Amino acid sequence: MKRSLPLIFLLVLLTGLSYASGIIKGNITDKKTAEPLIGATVHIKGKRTDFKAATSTGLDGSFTFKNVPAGEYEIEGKYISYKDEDKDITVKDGAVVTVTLKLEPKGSELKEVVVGGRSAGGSDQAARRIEQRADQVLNAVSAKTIEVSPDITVANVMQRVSGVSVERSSNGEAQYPIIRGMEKRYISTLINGVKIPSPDNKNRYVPLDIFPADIIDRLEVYKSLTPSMEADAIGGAVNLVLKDAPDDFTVNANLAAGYSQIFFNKDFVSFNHSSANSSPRIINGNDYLATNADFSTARYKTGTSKPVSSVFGLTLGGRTADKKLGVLAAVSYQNTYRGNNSVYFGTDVDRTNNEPVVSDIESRVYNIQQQRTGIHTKADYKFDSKNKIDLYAAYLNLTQNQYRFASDTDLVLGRTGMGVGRVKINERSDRTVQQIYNLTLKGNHTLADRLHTDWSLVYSKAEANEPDRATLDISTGVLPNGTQIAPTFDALNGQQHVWAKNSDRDKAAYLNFTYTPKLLGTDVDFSTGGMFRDKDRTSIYDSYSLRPIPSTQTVADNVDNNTFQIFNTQGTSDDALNYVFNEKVGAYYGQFKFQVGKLQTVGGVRAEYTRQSWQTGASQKLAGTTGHIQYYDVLPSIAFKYKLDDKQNLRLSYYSGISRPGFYELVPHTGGDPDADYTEIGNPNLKRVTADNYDLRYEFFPKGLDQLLVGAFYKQINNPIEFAITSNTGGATGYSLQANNFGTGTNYGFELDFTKYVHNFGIRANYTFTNSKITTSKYVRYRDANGFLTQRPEMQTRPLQGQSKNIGNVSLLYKSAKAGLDAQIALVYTGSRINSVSPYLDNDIWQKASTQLDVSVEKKLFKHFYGYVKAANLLNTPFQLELHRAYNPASTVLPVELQTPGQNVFVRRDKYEQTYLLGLRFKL
Amino acid sequence: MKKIINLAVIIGSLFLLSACHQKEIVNISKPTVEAGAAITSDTLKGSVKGTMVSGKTYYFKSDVTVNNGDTLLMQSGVKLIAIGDGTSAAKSPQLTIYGTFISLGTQTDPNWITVPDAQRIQANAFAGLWGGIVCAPAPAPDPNQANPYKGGDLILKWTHIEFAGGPSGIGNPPYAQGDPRYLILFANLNKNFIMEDCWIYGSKDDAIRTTGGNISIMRNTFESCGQAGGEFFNMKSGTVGDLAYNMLIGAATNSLKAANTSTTTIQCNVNMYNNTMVNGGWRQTKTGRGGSIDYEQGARGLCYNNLMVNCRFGLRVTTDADLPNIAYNNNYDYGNSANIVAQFIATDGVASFKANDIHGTAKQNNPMFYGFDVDKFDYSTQTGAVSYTAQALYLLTIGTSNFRLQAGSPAIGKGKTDFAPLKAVTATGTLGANVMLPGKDIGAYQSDGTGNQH
Repeated sequence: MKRSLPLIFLLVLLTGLSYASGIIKGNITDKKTAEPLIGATVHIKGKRTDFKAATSTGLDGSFTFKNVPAGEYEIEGKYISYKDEDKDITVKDGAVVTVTLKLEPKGSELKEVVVGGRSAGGSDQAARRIEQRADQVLNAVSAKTIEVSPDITVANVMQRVSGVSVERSSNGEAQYPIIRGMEKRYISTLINGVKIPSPDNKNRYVPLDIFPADIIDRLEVYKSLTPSMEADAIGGAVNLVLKDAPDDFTVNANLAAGYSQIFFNKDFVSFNHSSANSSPRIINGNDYLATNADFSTARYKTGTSKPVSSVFGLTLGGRTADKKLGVLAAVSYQNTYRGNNSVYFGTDVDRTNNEPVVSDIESRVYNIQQQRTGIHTKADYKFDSKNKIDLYAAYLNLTQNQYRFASDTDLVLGRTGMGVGRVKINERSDRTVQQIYNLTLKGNHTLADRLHTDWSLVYSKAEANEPDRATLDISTGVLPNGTQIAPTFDALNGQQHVWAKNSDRDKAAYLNFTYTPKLLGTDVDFSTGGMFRDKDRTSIYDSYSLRPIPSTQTVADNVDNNTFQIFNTQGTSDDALNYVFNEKVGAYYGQFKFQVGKLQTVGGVRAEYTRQSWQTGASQKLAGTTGHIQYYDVLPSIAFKYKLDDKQNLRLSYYSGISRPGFYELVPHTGGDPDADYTEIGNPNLKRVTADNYDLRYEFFPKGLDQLLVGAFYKQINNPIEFAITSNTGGATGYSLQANNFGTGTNYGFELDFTKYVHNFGIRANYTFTNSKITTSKYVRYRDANGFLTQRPEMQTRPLQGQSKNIGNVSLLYKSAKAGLDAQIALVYTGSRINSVSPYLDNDIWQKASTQLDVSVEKKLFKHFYGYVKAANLLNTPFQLELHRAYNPASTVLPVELQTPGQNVFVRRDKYEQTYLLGLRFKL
Repeated sequence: MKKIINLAVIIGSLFLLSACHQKEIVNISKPTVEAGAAITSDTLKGSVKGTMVSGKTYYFKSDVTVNNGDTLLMQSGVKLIAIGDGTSAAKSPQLTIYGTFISLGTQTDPNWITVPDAQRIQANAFAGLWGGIVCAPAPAPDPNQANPYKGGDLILKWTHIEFAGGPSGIGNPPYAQGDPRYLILFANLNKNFIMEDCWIYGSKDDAIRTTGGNISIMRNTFESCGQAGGEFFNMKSGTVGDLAYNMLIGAATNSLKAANTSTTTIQCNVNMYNNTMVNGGWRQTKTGRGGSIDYEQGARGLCYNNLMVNCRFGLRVTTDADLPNIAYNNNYDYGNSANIVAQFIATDGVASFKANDIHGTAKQNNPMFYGFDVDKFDYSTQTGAVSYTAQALYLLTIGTSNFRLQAGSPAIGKGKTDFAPLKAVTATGTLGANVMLPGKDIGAYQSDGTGNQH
């Protein structure tokens, strides 16, 4: 059964294929935009006979009626939110009649004021047109594409976009985008064009797995910037355009249930969620001395189940009769269960020759429940054709419950034979609640004939709360004589309880003016505007360790039967993760846009002022306990679009971008894992990254949704930030790991994006080649001339972390509007890339190239009801890490499974297995 | 014409395309340094320097700092009493030495750094009543520049140091808040740490840890340290020197441990010779961590003439130690149970018996101490780790015991004397080190009266 399931989905795909030949052929298009309308219904009715037939348009807006008897007919096209359109035609035997029906959108008279244009909500057509008409280089994915795709989160959708690969979390879910080899620090996240704060303590930008895919109308990936956009997007920006109020009353409901293949073979392990929401220090004050009573063992109470995932979504929207007030509300709830079986090798570097060695093998089993809630409401009011305001409110919540059981066997010490060795067991229960609130009030006004303005007021808050991450550390194993070592708690850290909380609050205001005079007979757009944002980030972190007293007690079945004593009674208020950070960014810009002949030019200059200050929990004895940094940037950009003809563009653009260091990286902490070889320290003198970005793109939109995009890019990155070894010690001894700036890096490559539809079939493919270079310091361990073990620094040139040389996507689509069937097979290829940078020369850990296959099918069941199936990771593609160095069997006492002498050192393999979702959608 | 003008606009705008990025204006706080004040009263607080005069008793109940470049000196017969209970960082004060600290006790007038007499009981041995001594470079004035401060020397002679180890408080590098502290943490690369004829007693975890430094550790007595783990003397990367003629009883894990971890460019290179280790390793709950001497993870050095009695593990040299540069021989193992005998060479490691090692079966080769019955506690009744509450006082402290060798002890005359100490310390004169050459008798006490003088 396990193996046959993927096959069944393939079979489902192959059904419903039909062949058509006929006499009436045609297209249905939007009267204003000439875009094809997909899934529009077409009726023919004999004028003198009772002959009737109906069909729907395909992916290219085309339709065909076969075997139509000769005679006179009335043909009528219908489409949601469009006025019906009909024509009279005459059919002759053996002849083909070609008809084009141009449908006019309803309520279009009020639309001029809508900035950016809006077509039928979330359609593919809209997405294509946005790509074609945009002032800058971008890719767009429509809600419709997402709906019929195998993806349920925005992060998963991202990996289908040209030039984008994703960084996954430990449960295999995509989390952060990597655009053209530029990692997450270079990519900003916007909702409706407004930047939102991140709940992630170590990153400025929001993990995209927090967004359920079904609340968005369109996903836009900007690869170049215009002066009106915030400049901290060297890699690009991801804009989530959320659903807008439709003209007609719309209901879209969606209910699904799913299962994860991994839980066919084993149970899901859950844990008790009740625990204190804040640490004893936060509840009782800094001077409070915690007692055992402050720590609950609830987190260690586990249970098992066969969990069924559930997905629910409801979108309601409509507009008043006068079309002035539109309201839309969307709710999405996803409760998914995932598993991960992981094998991990600890690696080190031989002290005499810098060769990699493996020190231990760890098996990790993850059980992950993710509850994703998205609530999104939007109201717009059109006072008249000149004034409109939008009020937008969103609430997002990603609650993750993760139970991890890890068992780590030492391969160096205590291992005299197979089945013998020292084992460390680590049981961890972790609940993380991430929330984002956003409230935006936006206005659009036409002040005079050629003068427009728009403004936004934004309040956003992102929070992450990790209450009581509870860990048990247990030592056990098997002695050389075969006796099992009775499990005992780690004497220094038997139980650990961690509370981490951080919040990031933004208040922002935006104001833009556009003046469009006619100069020298040419329409020219002058726009100017500015923005201001005040950000407060606070972070709180407390870690408590409990020691087993007496230390020799064996681990009881119920941890309540063991006795512990709290060791550090006051928590960890001076941990690096306790800080308050304020950042103020102000910007203004001037931008022009005009067209001379076939050449459109958009250009201008933006100035951004940044002022940062922080206060950590550390004492005044430490340098940088408080700090201020300020700077400004003047950022020009220019974009040329040469319209070869109606269907072809050639674009050339330049922009200057920046990337501000993370708050955590700036704050002068000394901390991290005390057992790590290198202590992580902050760097208040970290400079921002600046980059000059060049893009060249050829675009061809032959017809309908077809497109061909071919582009090349070049980025010169000044002061790129990477983590590297430094002899600056902060408070630590020896060497430390610190974020630092490294000269100049480069990143170049090219992209190919191709979409072609032939009536019921479609193919979408893209390929990106990226090549980046950065040189950083590494260490080489060696034995010196006098026979002493030591190390020396050496520079190493390598690709940027996370950059794959080759990435590609292929999706095959099938759509039969008549049969009400949509099917898609999607394949993602991610080439090998650096996963983590080693402090040692030639010891970087690489992620192996992988190919992931997902399938989805949607079928109309009866009026307004659709059934769908989404199956992900059909090939059970593992996440694999390796060193590009040969495994040396002499580095371990015995042969080790998964390692082959002479082959690359195996570092990690995670297997997530397939996930399935079966659902029902209601659309009105 | 229009086109020409427009083209001119385009070309003109291209000239505007020169990005300008202002250099960051950075203003970060400098560390506050309170000037060191001369000692004028019997209570020390804040930043101090100068001399604690002979015969006087001083107190401190809050953290005391010796600034970079300053020296704090204890003349002989001085008592420095820490007032604390170890319940919190604030109630376990610490001596923070960014400069130099010298304690010149004498055999007749030793110095004390301890707690009030009422608290000096074995029940408090693992309580961590105060914070210990931290010798480290002063915090860098600019965290982005290499730290100009290197720390100073620590010279301790005839000094008792006892009862420390409570968790660290905030802003106390190299410790993070909540870290267990040691009686002494020495973190000054290339600086001198000389400890001679001192008494070390009672610590929560490690008694002494060095993460760098040139050391000479001679003729000291270590008792009863490490509640459920930890070493008497734990050396990391950057530590170079000699440890000899030390008497060590009742360690939680090893008595002496060397590992080249926490990376510096200076390899951990330490000679351990003529030390006597008794009843070590029994409180460590993790398997195979060692119970006497340990060389691991790239450490090197010479290891001769050590006497190990009823230690849970004998010499442990792990496979990742710098094996080509570790030499050992003439070590003496005694155990009164088969379990101990089986681990005379810790099976966890790769060491082996050498020709001049003395070892036998259970109860064979009694070293013949003057005043200590090596078979009083029968270790065959105890196979695994024990909690300190289950260990009798005489197994953890010297008390009335005497570990000198009786005439006729098999240890007499069996020492190796033809190797040289590292003599890594550079201090000379009265403050300098008296690095004793290897002794002809195995263990800390020589039959000619030299060696450990306690």
